Amino acid sequence: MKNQTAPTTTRLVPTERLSAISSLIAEGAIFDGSFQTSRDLGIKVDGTLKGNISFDTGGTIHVGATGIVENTRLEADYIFIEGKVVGSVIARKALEITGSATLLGDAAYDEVMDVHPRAKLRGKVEYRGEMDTPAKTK
Amino acid sequence: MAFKLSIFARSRQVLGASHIGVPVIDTNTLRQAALQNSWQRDQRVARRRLAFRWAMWWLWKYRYYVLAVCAVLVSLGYLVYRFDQASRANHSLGNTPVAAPEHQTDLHLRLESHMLPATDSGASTATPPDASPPTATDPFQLKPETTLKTKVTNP
Repeated sequence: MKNQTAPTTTRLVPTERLSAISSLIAEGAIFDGSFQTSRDLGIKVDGTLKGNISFDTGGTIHVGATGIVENTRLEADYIFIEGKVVGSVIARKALEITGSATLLGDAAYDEVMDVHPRAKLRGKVEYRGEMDTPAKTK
Repeated sequence: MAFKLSIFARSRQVLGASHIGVPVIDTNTLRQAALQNSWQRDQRVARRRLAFRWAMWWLWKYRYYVLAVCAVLVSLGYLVYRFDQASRANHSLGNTPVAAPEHQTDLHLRLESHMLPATDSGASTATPPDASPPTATDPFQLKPETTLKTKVTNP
């Protein structure tokens, strides 16, 4: 009888969600405008984005280590921040802020959130889910 | 006719035929390759930034210890520098011949010859200087006072 336990990952945003990125703003590029879709897609920002990113349903937002998002309102199911975000962030499922990230603004999440050590976060954090029921992952 | 043929040949050279037959890269493959590159770059940048943040945090937290260690190191370095300078000076003094006492003797002789009377001046320059301490009875050994002193009277 095997007594093996699956390795627990510290990453809240699943790898398959990060691999399903469909749009990429490359490093060095500056995108001025808003990004919106109703499909379950993903976007990764390695350059600079000045505007909102909104997914009506689903969606994954990955701000890379070199990415900068300013004057923004990010809304998606999964949000993974490694770079700098100035604005409000709303994650309907999971929000993860790594140690290399900087978030200047409010953050709201419905299920789970993880802030790694040495992350810079200035703003209010709000849990929008039910307070009595345990949070679900995935 | 030949001119037209040469134009066609040149255009064929410019276009090249190397791309013909090479399959076009699939969009999904291109996207995955771009993502792989992006993740690798992210990893590098994030690791570097995180290390810098940890280092800054550590330096700020233990700043007094760091300052103390730096001060001790600087003091040690200064002491070593001074010791090195002193040893060099000693070394250079040890190599040079001792000439200072002769110079002092010359000065003493010159002073005595200047202050002695003219009759004894020739003999005094010829004889070596007296090494005994000057006595208070000798009027030529007295030095004039350059400062004023108040007279103290006992009550």
